[in-house]
Amino acid sequence: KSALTYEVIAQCSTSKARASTMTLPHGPVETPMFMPVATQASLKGLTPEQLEDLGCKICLNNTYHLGLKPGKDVLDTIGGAHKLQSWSRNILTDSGGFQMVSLLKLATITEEGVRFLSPHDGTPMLLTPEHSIELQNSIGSDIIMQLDDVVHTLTTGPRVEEAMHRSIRWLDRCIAANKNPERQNLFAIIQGGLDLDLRRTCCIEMANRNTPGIAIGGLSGGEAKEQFCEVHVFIIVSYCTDLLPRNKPIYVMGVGYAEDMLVSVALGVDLFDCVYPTRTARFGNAITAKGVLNLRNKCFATDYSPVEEDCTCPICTPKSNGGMGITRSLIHHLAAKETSGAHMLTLHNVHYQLNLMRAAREAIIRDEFPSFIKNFFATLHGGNKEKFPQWAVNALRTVNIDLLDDSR
Amino acid sequence: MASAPPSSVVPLPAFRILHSQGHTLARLGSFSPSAVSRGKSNASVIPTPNFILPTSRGTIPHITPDNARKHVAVPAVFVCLEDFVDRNALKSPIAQSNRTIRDYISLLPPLSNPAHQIPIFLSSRRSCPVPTSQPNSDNTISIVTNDGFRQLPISDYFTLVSQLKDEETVIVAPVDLPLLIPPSNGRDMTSPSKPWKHIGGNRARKMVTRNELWSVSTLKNFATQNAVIVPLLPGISVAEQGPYLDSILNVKESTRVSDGHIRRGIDGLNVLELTSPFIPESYEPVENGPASDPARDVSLTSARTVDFGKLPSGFNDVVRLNLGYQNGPHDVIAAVERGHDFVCGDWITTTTDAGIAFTFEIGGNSMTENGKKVDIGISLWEVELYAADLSALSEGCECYTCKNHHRAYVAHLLAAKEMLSWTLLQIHNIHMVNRFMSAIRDAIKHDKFVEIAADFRKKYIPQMEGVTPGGGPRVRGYQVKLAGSMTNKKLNESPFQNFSNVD
Ligand SMILES: [Zn+2]
Ligand SMILES: [Zn+2]
Repeated sequence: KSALTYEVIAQCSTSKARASTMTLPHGPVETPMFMPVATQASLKGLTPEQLEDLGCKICLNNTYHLGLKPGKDVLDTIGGAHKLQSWSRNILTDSGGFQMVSLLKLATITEEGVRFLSPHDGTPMLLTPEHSIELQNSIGSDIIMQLDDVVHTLTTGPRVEEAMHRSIRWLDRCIAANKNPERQNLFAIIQGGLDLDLRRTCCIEMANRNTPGIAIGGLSGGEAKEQFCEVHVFIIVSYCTDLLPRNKPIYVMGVGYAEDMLVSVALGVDLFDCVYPTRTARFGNAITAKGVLNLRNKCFATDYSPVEEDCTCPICTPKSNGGMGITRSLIHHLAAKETSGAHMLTLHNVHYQLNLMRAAREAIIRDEFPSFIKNFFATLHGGNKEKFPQWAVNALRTVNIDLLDDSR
Repeated sequence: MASAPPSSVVPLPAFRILHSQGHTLARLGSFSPSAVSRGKSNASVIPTPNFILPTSRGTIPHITPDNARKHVAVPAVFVCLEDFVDRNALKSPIAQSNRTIRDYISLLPPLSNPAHQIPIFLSSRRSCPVPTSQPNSDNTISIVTNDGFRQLPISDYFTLVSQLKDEETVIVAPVDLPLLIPPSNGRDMTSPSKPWKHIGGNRARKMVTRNELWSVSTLKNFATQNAVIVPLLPGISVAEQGPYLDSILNVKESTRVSDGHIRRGIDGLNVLELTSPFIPESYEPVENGPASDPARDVSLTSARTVDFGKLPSGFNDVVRLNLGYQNGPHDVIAAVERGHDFVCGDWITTTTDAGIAFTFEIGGNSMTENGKKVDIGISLWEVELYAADLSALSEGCECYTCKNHHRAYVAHLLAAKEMLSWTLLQIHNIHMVNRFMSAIRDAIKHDKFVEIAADFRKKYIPQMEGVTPGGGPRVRGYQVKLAGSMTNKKLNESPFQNFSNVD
């Protein structure tokens, strides 16, 4: 029995984009949805109330971090992460494996699990699928992720195949270990690198396990898109969404740039997460429909317009409409000197991400998603089609959207 | 910045004393900053004694304006121009913004009372300023800006203030202080716990004339529409600063001036030392003594007859600001006893930065379980104590933090170095101090202040471990280098400093 229902509300008649409602133990989540990352049970200075007021229905906590602090014993005593952070909406946790491999240079993977040296005292430790699920059971998150064997996106050769098969075996161990299937939804993670045959095998095997939702892994980190032929990444996504069951939510992990999310939506993806919007706020960067503005730049010192014109976030909304009426000049004045400046930009950036997904959803429901995504790229690049990224043009052509053609 | 129509009526005074407590100099009052709307229903009125929260670069530290409006009821804020100007003050972004300071920093009225504008005490320098390397001159104030020491021309200062102020802005006149004198030889403003040594000779004379010049021009420029606070000079006897005191009183008492406006003079005194001329030098608050200690009553009686006599009586009914660093609630009580109406709230932020949640209250039960004194707060850094503690930061507290969160969460956030820890602590700590000040006012009103102050001293240990002893300015990250080059001592000696700078 699963603790998740997934209902498709509308389907784009051109692309694979869909608008759905995913109902979890802590309430409904309208997809497509961006999930902000509250790594250590807090979203970079925002109160849970502020996050809720932004319309956030689900956020991420990182299992690796919560396992260290406050730790499993405390989580058990308190009664989980919802109680720890007084968050009445949904939480998704990762397995902890990805963070170990990326944060700890000395992590190695064996059939048992991920071996690593304790960041506390250097003693050897082991994270098994069972440990990961046990921790996530203590956290009490609404969506829990299987431990998978992570290889870098650009890895090739037998290691990729090994990782894919091991991830399937680990999924079985995770399913067996999950103590709370009636309130915690375990998601499988599709591996297989950039190899379509491996991805196919993985999709079929994992779909057979009938988990409440499925993630497409091994694609995160903008670096893969920037350094290599980006279209590969989206061919993989599109290939997987074709093979995966239509009645389950599909989540692409670690993807959060606006362009990437919208193209993925066109390819049939429902859920995203990324630290980028919150991390970049701390460096004075505001995400806007016209691109990213670094408000630490001197030219903003005397710019008294809102961070983004007509933005409906709490900081850009004028004081006369109940907002804070914050100017670029004030953010410039505070950037890197007062934390509340970063908190304000975080409010704006998270609003931007959530709002983008809300707008995409509405466009899908009106069946106007193709023109919506064309408008998005036109605005982002100032109407200059030559600036449209080729990977986006190519990926969208596979779902019958031609960014360069205004007629369709 | 429309100028008020010429009026033939002298505006109501900004400050009214509502009640005085018999045995101390404590007094209950109300302060109304706007000279224009004073007495009308839309005027902002702050009850005193109360606190002023210093902002940092215009923000309440750790708090975004939406949280401030919803969850933080600060009675008044302190804003300094040196946080906003750079090389050329009149070309700085705030000067070009064509906005009031309130608008620029988005200081919003509380949601619970949208018509109330929170008073802004606008000053040239921070409440506890970093000492400068250059002295003031008659025409310039030495300030510490984001990119170093600068000389701010007094004329630019006046231009800026008139551009940035609104009705509910209180103008704090610039102060000429001998900042370069090391603490052992006088007092720099970074160690306000020690009284100033006597400043003599030429320096004293220069201070008197310069402050006279500055205070009188500040009054002439702003007193028609705004409340104006001028300094009482520290380290100089009342007799020596006689000419200065006479001048500012003369402005007060002058009637019709050439432009047809009626001015009234000063609305308040900025008292820069604890041993102010309001009280005799022999006066010491009695630590544990009974409230009716006859010796104490005598000393206070003589305080009134002797020392108030030193100050012209025209100064008795103006509001008194104590912008020195308070080292916690004990200092605030002492300041109230000495007749101060507003204290600086910097200690609240310092406590928050140190990861401490206030738990003290005044006027409640004075007994502790085992008769031993207790701390004024709890250090949530002690994660092993609070990791699974689901109780409010302080029992019965009604603040946003306590209604929605618990000790375990704040302790976790501190341990994880998450910025939200300080936001939640600051909301709680400001709420606790509001409650404390409100209880003090209530006690003065009912002639119970002496008792509750004595009970408080019996119950609480004055100093919380982990909070900078002796106070000192709160040096934000970007100032540390500058401040460090001026003094050898560390300005923030909190053991948690390296954590609070994490973002
Ligand atoms: Zn915005
Ligand atoms: Zn509280």
